[in-house]
Amino acid sequence: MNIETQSYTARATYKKASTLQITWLIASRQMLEAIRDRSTLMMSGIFLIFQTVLVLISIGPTLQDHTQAGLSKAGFLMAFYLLFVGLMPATPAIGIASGVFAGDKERGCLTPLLVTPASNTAILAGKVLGAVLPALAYAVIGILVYFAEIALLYGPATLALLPTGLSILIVLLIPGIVLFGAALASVISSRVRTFQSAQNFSSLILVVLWIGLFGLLFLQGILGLWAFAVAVVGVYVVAILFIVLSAVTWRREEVMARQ
Amino acid sequence: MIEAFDLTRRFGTFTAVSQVSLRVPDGSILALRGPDGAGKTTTIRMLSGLLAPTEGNATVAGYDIRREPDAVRACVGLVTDVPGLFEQMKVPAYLDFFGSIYGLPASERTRRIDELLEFFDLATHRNEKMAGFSKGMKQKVALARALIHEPAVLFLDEPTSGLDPLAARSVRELIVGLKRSNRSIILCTHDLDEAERLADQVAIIRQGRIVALDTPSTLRKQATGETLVLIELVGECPLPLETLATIDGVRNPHLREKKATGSLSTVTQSPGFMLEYQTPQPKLVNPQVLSRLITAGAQVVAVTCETRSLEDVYITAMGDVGASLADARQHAMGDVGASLADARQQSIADAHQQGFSDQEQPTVPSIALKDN
Repeated sequence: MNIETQSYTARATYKKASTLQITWLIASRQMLEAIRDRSTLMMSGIFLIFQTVLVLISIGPTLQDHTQAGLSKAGFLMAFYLLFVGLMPATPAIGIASGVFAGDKERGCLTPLLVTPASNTAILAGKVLGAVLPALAYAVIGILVYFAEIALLYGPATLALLPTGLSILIVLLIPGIVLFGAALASVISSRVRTFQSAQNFSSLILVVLWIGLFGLLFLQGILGLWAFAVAVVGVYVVAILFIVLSAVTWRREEVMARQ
Repeated sequence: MIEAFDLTRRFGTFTAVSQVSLRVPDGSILALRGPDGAGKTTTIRMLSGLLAPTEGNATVAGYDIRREPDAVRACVGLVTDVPGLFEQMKVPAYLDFFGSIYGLPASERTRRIDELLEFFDLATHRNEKMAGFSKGMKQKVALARALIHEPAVLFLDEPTSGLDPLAARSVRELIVGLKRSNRSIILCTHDLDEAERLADQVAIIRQGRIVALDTPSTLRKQATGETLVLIELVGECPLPLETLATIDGVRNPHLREKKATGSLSTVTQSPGFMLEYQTPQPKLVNPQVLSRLITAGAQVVAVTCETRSLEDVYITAMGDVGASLADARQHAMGDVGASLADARQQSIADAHQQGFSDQEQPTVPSIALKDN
């Protein structure tokens, strides 16, 4: 290697990449890690098999009842599973989000990144984006596979049984939940010492969120569709506020001080 | 250039680093030595723009660590004792990732990556994932990562830790090369021999404070101010010790019988005596002593001058901490720990009592200095 003699007595010169460029670099590397993670892939595969079994053993029998009430019941069950299959594949990815800071910190991978000129915002945004995008991809794949399974097993016309308004809200809700869950997990991960603590906190919050969402789904018959719509908007607003707040307050110094 | 003035960092009520001042000019190496928890890492984190000091300030590569931490980080390279790699990646992709964050253009990244892979003998492993690498190879990648942007200042925390002797040697050569290319380097090492060989200055840090900072030779001199002189004689010393003691500058002259040594396969040396004394001015005193001895008919085999090693200086600097270490260990480890600590304390005490004049230094259990 050629080592050139240079004068550093004066201020050293340096180049700086843009914040957006660095954010995308960190996010894309984070996504690659998530995609390469075998346990995540395996978990997502198991969920896909599980949802196929669900479609076979529970939706199939309800479709035998051709009365209006029976078809309505089948439609609601399909909507329920739509929410379920949208959230299930995202769960391991949210788990990955728990490790974006705490896991890297445990492996010693965080310090080399923190010592770069990347801004606090670029690091946090890149990490959160890198956790959100794979989770979103898993959720989209889960939903598409679910629709394809119903169409293949019971015919495309069966999809028409899905309650339109509720189904659209559920499809809109899933990215919001993924955004919220992954962002929350990333931020928790940035403020705890270990991957285990990050996962424990994130799982607890996720369980509460799931109970709330399924509760709303069941109550929409009583409260009306608007309650569910408000919940969807609320999830997005809270997720975005949460991310912005985190980006403004997160400091690499806090991470280093905790080590 | 690194210049620090009264750097202090507190975490709540705990003071990790207290009033650390140092200066590392361009093209020089400062070795930072101290037990675990002494404040070395916190000092490096402050100087590399990762932690803001509570008090004091520093400039690194011409940038103020308080006001321009981004610029400081852009101009420094940091290697810690843990390589901290994204192990599912291949080396070129990993280096490219960091090169991109440092804002290097694609062509420059490619050139630097090829150079670094070649230099660290990693070119043949460029298509392998780092998960399968040995500790030494991972450490080499960490070094390559720290050098990808050709930083003006380097912070190396145990850079040869876990490397095989050949790899460690090549890393030391690299460090010397980087120093010659006018970079300022702070090297944290537990290896005093490494510190002595590489560093222009050695700082000993204890409980967050720098207790000694100078060139290795000055530190050794400051510790005793005297050189131990050993004169090997064939047969007895023809001059009485009282006569030698009258020579100005000769302190504590004494004789030690040198027993016959050798084995079946070597020629057995004849027994003789070893004349030992201490002097602050060996260049003036030794010729006088030798002249007197030879005139009196002494047959001189060899003359050896010994100054104190950095290890001795370090143990002296750690003297006060030794006691608290022993106490802490006694509480933490029970009887076994206490006896180890006692042994160490006794060894240090013996060494002090003997003024390090005995060539057979007491063995200090290595566990002692690494605990804190």
